[in-house]
Amino acid sequence: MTVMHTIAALPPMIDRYLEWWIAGTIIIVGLLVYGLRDVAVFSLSRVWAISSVCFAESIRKRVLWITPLAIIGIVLVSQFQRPIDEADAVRQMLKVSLFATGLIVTITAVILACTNLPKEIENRVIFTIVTKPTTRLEIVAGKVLGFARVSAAILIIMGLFTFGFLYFNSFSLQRGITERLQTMDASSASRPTLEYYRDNGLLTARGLASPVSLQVLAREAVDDSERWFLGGEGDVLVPFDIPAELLVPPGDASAPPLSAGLAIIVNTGFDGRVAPRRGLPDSTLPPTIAAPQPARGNTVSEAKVDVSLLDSMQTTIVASTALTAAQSSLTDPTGQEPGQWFLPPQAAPNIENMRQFYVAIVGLNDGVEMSLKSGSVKLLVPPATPNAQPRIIEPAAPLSRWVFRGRYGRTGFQVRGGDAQKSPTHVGTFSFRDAAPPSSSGMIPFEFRADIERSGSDDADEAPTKLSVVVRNNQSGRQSEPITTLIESNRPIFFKVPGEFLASGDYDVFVRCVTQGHYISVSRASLSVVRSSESFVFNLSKSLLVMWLMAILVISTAIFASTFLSWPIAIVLTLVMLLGRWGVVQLGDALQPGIGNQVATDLGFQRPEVTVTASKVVEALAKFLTVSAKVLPDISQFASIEDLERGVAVPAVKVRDSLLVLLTFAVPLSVLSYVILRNKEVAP
Amino acid sequence: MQEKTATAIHTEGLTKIYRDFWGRDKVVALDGLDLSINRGEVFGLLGPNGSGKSTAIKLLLGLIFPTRGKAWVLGDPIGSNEVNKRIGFLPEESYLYRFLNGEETLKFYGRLFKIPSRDLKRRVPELLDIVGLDAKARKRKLREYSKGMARRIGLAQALINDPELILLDEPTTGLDPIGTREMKDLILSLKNQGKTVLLCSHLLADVQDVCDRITILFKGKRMELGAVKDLLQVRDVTQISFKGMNESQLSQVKQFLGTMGVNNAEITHPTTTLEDLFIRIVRENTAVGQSYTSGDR
Ligand SMILES: Nc1ncnc2c1ncn2[C@@H]1O[C@H](COP(=O)(O)OP(=O)(O)OP(=O)(O)O)[C@@H](O)[C@H]1O
Ligand SMILES: [Mg+2]
Repeated sequence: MTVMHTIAALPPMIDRYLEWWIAGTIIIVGLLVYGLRDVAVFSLSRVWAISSVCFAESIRKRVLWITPLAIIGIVLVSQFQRPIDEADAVRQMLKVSLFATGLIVTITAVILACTNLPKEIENRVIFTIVTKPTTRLEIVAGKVLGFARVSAAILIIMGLFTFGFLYFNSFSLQRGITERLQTMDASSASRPTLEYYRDNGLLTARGLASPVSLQVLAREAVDDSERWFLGGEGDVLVPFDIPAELLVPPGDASAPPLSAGLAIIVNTGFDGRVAPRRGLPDSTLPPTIAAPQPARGNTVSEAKVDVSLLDSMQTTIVASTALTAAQSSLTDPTGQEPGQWFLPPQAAPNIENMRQFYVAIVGLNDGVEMSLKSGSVKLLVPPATPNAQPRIIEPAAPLSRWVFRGRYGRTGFQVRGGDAQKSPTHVGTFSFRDAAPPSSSGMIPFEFRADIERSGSDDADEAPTKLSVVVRNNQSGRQSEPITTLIESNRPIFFKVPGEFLASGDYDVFVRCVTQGHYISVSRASLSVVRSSESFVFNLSKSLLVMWLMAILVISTAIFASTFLSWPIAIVLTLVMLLGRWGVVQLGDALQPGIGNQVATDLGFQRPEVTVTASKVVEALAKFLTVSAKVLPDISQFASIEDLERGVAVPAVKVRDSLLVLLTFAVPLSVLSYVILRNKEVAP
Repeated sequence: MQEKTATAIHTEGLTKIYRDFWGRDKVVALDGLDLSINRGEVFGLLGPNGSGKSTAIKLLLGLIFPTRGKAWVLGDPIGSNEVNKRIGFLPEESYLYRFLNGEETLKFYGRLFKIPSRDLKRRVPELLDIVGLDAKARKRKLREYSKGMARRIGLAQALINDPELILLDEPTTGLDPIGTREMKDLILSLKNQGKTVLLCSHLLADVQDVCDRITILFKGKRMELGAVKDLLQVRDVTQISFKGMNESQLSQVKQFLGTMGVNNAEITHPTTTLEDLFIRIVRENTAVGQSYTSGDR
């Protein structure tokens, strides 16, 4: 318990870079203090000789025969695929090939590396190695290198196959696209996407830039001008970052934070005109919240707003019912008259967890557009003594970085479709910064991908979903003509924007769905600008390199496990170590503080002391899992298949991050293997 | 200290107790061995099965760690890596990579000594000749080797670095009579080159032929130590040997001995007397109804 507490209470500097500290300590102590003499005589030629034997063993035991098997598997599986179009066909083939490659390289790495040392100790071949002038450091390094070479051989064979297989197939698919374009209507909305594939090939690797933020708004907004959002759909999260001492009531420095409560001041304006909504959803809406009942054709003179507090993970910490509102509704459409909410001290949450939080504002009137300006939201810490001044606290980010959310859809926030003139709709505002294309002349492609959700009335169901896009350059203030294109659910589409609007790289893209009754679910990743393209071969190589780095991580983990375990158990430990962090991430919220209480209550013990103990045990276990996940490698860094599959250039950062994971885990694990092996009697 | 560095091998109270999983003592495999082997001598380590010979060698090579006691090999404390450059080791059985062929095996071990590949090109066929593996056998994988061939390649890898000290754990097991003969000749020629050989065996004929000094281990303890001819000399027994003596001549000798007052003369054919010594030691130290191979507890 005390160890857990010390770890939990580490200074942020160490906590943040925990794996680096651990890795550094192991490497320095293991190599420079403990193994200095072995480091001094370290010989790369001996390491190479040992690795060559590992390599020869794998080759002669016909490990590489796994590659033709995998290839047959890939070819067979791709026969059964039913792609919806050419791009999808390429994507599926790539997915299967790369998945199979990753799978066989990891499995062979685990099995080879886990069985090698125990086997050599068991059949005593190790006797003739360690009685030569080889150090155990060289043995560990040689084994890691040897299996890394085996993995490289597998990856090269599979890479060559993948390239050939896709090159061959995309060639004929591409011809199909050209033919289709010849017979296609010139005004067809899916033309831009097909033209993109015709001009760039199906096997491209696009260099993408993503927006820095996405706001789901009711009207277009520029710079820090006022933002409109739609009542009844979505909300606004205003970020705050407040050190606990600023929450101490002014006038009494010794008072605990929030002991005088906290006031939330919100100046919300609203648009009293509620446009009639035609053909609006009734019952078959797919979203997670029940469809709002639309107000029809009338005006409102007052609006209602709900306020609550969310933590940095956007989960509620103070519900709106815990706040006392100074007014029952807002009557000033201009928003001059502030609405006030008060958080009483007894309802104040635990301050330690409080520092970063959001004030969430929800408009309660369906279809009523509400507005917020810079400075519309602030906090006020009431004074402890009557003659002291209250303290005013401003949000931690400007209006353009507040989180305007739509309702949750399947894969993001819903953007309501329709004709903005006739009924309230949404505009997804994607803000790009530093995302200039290499040249601002000509047409620059954008890639867009979103889920489409339909309201269920028949004609709306059949109609294609149309998108209207406007790009506004923030430097010049100029705005493009609306660009319309058809989209399909969850498949990338392309449209082109004149480069002049992207110059300087600081621009906003306003995306509207103009098909009545359709909703698109967007996230920040839905839209990106294609800034560059690189060759498929290069991209494939990068992806294989990332896989190779992962194989090396797997190998060093496996060798580490096999220095003190028999091979079957070593395999299990290797898998646990590799998948542990991922598993804990999957558990997610279940490991948050408070879980102990929850579980203990659920179990319904009779005696209170049992409940307390059970709660503590569960809590400690949750903490243990969280902390141990921190020191395990993050294999999600090695996921490059998806990029390749989407035709996106694997970013160099990804290669770098994989290398960093390798440095923080594979190297210290190898050093540990060495230390263990040096203290181990190698005679069975 | 001087003694430790001047000798090829020096041990002081070297003890190995094998423990079980829970750390409880299981077998005392070697019990306080004191030994000093001079440079340039062929030394025999004898003992029945399970007496701790292999254990002693593994300790000297750092394959296992001593429970108590100290030892120096060629002047370095055991477990140091540097000294391995000057040592050759032939283990009890040939523990080699079975998927490599003879040539590759020697090249691999040569590389571990950082022998330049130019020298290896010369040395590898030379060694293969010495141990008697012909051109066909060299290209065969070790898993296809017969027991004697495996033994021979094992010996070759022990000699790859032209070592000063060679530890041979039962070098003649698996060898045919000619191979055995060749092995003995090889040991003698190594001795002539000034090398030190520690020979571990229970094949007494081998030991008697080549060793300068021997020690006999029993249940991990040292029983005898000395020059072979001193150990085997029994001072109050005289043996006269003849070739081609017939029955009548023999009865005349008997008569003559009788006139000298010697009535208890025992007339036999000479035996391998080391065998006598060996068996005597084992018998004297084994309690009735107890096996001798299981080590001491
Ligand atoms: N790893 C081990 N664990 C437990 N006991 C062991 C181990 N290795 C050897 N022993 C025991 O130590 C004793 C000495 O074994 P050692 O191999 O040294 O005998 P040896 O003199 O070489 O015998 P042999 O002539 O049969 O080769 C034996 O009783 C053996 O069972
Ligand atoms: Mg033995």
